[in-house]
Amino acid sequence: MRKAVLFAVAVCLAAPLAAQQATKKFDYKPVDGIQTISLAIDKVKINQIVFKTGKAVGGPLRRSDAECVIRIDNDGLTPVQAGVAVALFDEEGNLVAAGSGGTRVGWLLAGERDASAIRFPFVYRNMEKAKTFLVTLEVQPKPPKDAPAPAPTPGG
Amino acid sequence: MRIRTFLLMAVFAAALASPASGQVATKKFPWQPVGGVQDINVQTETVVVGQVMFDLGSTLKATPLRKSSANVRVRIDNNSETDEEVGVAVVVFDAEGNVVAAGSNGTKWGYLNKGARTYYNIDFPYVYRRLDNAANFIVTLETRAKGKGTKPTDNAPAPDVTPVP
Repeated sequence: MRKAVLFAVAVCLAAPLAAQQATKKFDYKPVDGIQTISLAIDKVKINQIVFKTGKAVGGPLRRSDAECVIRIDNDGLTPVQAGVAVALFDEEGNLVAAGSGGTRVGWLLAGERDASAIRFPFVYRNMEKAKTFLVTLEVQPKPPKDAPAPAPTPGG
Repeated sequence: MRIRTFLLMAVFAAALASPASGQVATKKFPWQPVGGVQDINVQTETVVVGQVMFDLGSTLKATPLRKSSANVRVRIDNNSETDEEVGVAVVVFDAEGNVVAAGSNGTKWGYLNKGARTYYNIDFPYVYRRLDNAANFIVTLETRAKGKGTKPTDNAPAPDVTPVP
């Protein structure tokens, strides 16, 4: 019995830190492009999103400069990788823009703030009709130095 | 007379300056890829997204780089008689409605020629860690015909819409 408990404890300790995720839906109500929102996983928080509806770059180029910038605060004590996805929908449920951004290199250190730009270069033409949007925050804490290899993810 | 001409020019300029909207169709599908490939059908009049190919990707180990190579390859056919600008967005959800991947791609330069087929890779570099929990996905196709600068949707048929979670 004792061995079984010890084994279970060992397995739990050896379990890699899995990515945590939270998704929340918001009404699209930016003022001058800025909207205050609240989405958090433990101490990693998103409090603000800034939308730019943008327009086509011009000439034969078809990309737009539409984007949103998400502010991520790591108020925790552990460095994290953070990923954020944003999807905007119109009143009928059509997706009018979508994209993702996040930690590109290294870690978002404890106590630090990062602004992540999410571009909408190819699906943007109906962005002004947006009524709601989804924000997903994905957080992977940095494992301790003596911890086993990080969690195997689809991307890993 | 001069005032009328001036007003007409002003109205014309305003019409040109107004943001151009495109045709848009959104559809939701259950996550059922076989070998990563899943046949779907999303279309705006005669431009069709007929197939998606998901790749769960990988990350570079033992490097500080955090990007994943996860992506979906989207096949687009322009079956119309006009060249088209095309944009495609894909959002993947788990069973609880969490977004597990999202991105877009499309025409970068010029047009997708009439009768042509193309493939776009939509990368999922930053939100990918729970792609193995995917339960469904939505695909949006946005198109604009060559020469239709403003409001081409006014006479277009209603898009094929599936409510999102």
